[in-house]
Amino acid sequence: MFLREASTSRRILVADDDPVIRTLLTSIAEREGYRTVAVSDGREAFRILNSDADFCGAIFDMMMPNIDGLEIIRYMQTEKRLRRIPVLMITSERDLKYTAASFAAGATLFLPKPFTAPQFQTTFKILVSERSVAA
Amino acid sequence: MSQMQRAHREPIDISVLTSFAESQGDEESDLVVELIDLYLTDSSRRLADMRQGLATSDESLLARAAHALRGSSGTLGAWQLAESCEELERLAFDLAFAEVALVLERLDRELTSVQQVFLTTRQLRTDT
Repeated sequence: MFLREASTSRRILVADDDPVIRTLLTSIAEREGYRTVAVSDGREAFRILNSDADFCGAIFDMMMPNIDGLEIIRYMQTEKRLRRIPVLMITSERDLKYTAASFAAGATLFLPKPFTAPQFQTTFKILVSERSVAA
Repeated sequence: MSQMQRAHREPIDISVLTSFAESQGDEESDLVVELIDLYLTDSSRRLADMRQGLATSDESLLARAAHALRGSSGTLGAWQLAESCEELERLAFDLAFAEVALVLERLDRELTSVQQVFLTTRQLRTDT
């Protein structure tokens, strides 16, 4: 058992191909006092994570062009520098198998769409409060 | 969400959209107007993708576009449209293109109504 190192960064990586949802997520995160790096597909998120691990949280849509959210999380689990970043998975899928798949891949939290502003704010606060998780 | 809850929902609940601005503070830009502008552009593009998907019997394009429009529509309170998107997504996976054509016509009308409501909301917010 080991503890994930605490992140001092206040940066959030947001990856969602839907411009409405992406803007909503970044806007609320920024209102909470965080800086965001927003991208519109999984490949771009993957590219950023290859060279930048300075995030205190990540929010991924499950279904994205090129590389989906699950694949990114699985990749993050293989890299020690990325494993400590808590990930919130969001999706329009209601089937519980997607929730299970997200947690199995390594997601910290799961939020189904549609969500309200208070629901996202609460989930986001839990995400960024993630500091130590037994692995 | 239960069937009973769905049955009692309005086709569009504009309070869902405007609720996203409640904790915004005194920022210069209006998040609601920004979301409306993005939705108007994106939803028209998704509808075009659905039409193309139907014309070319491309179930993947159809399903992806319906899935995307479902997410943003539901999140902004356009429940009925989101449910039509879900129906179309399911039909696309089942390769039921004749039914897709019917649902797509209905979806088009619902989207037009949603866009009109959002445009009115936008005008009210920018006029004040």
